[in-house]
Amino acid sequence: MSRYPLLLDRSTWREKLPSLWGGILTSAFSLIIFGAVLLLYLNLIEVSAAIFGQNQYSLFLRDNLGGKEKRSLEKALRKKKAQNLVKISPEQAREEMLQSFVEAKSILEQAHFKPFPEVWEFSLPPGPQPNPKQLDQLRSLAGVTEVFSGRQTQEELNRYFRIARFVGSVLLLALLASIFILIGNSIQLSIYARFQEIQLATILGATRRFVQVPLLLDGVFIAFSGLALSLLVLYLLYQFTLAGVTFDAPTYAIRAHARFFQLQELALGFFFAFALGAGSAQVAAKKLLNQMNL
Amino acid sequence: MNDPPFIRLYKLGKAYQGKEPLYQNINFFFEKGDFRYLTGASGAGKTTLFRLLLGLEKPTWGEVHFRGRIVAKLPPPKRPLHRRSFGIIFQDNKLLLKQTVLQNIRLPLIIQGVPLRKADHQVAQLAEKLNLTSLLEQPVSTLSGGEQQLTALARAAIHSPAVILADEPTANLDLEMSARVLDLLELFHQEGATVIFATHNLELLKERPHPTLLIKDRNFFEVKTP
Repeated sequence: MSRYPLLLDRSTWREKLPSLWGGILTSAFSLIIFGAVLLLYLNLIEVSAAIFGQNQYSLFLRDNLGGKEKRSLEKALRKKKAQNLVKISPEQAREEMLQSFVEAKSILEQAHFKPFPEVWEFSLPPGPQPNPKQLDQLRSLAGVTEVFSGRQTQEELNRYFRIARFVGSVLLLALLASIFILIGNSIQLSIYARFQEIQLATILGATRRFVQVPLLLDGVFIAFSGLALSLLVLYLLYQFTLAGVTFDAPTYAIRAHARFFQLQELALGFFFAFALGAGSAQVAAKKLLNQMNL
Repeated sequence: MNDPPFIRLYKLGKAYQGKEPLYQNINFFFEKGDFRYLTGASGAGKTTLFRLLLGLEKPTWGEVHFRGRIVAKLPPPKRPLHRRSFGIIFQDNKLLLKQTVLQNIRLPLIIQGVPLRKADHQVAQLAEKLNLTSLLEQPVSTLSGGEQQLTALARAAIHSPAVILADEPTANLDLEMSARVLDLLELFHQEGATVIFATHNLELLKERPHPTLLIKDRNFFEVKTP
């Protein structure tokens, strides 16, 4: 028997669990969408930052570049302190492309493509960035047709991320508001279902706090359970997606950088769930109890 | 300086929207330790008077004073404390059917923050007085109508309230059980409680010693007990 006998004893829990389940499931559904958007966004930033390193460069070489020209190009790069030089031949590039589209491999193998250019990938020591001069110097090297830098790509991606962040923030705020309303509605249903008990307690001299504390706990319970359920589903989806990604050789690197929510983020999530559950229950309970003149 | 009247109805009037007033311009006192029967036709306003006393409704005109304070003007945080001065028995007893007799009786004590062990001790003492000891662990839903009303009576008296309001508690009981309920109310009255007992069963009041208050034609009349 608790200090709040009306709303917390075992028989009461049995009674109110079905109505709480509605709140838990709908909150969990919204939180899954919320979490998926957040996780996707975090991973896009992390993976892109890792894959498109800021000092990473790709040189596209002219077709049929001779051995002598390649050696002098390599010498020029060495002068610029290029590291981790990887040379991707046209054949390797074709093979990688075929690996990327493994399902269509047989069709692509029979197709005739314009030969891929040879690509050299390397990184330069970190320096003052951005450095368009650096790019121009690389472009001017003999035998080079095009230069791409990781920074360029990342800046391009960041521009899209900014748009995604704005759209995502609006979506996330809308979802948070909907969770707030959902929990509030569950609490209001709980009050309606238990109106006679609450009314009796009020007549017998129960304070607002006596009536409201169990309702706040209900709100926190809904938010916590909804968050826990959504995290479980998200984790399963995350593992499933990751397993799918890593079947594919070229995207295997993603596994090294992709991540689920970290411990601090989870703790923050539960803190927000507490605030959201208690806050929405408080608002809903106060409004309804005032309306009922209790 | 004189003590203020225990309960004072001052120019009291109550009307619900679109209906004739239940009563108007009532001036009346209840002294501490009074035992009054309250009678009148159905819809005369007996239950409404109880709700006004508890501060669950506001008068349309006039004031209800309790221990010198205007009930309708009590600030919200003070209202629960005001209601704890009352014990109330309802016609439909308003018991929590899935809970045991013990849990129902100790509810007012738990609401008032009395520790569980102390509350259980108080319940055991009262149950013995009311012959309810053997029923304490039973769910209320398994009890007879009379036993349920005795449980409600125990719940109303467990916190030794200053006033017991009995709102037609005998309406669904046979004469024998009704007489027992009245006897028990008499007992609580002797222990110091002010009792207002609403009924429209005048038969029940025969040979009872206390004055009767009749609500009729929007007014209160003190009448002799039949």
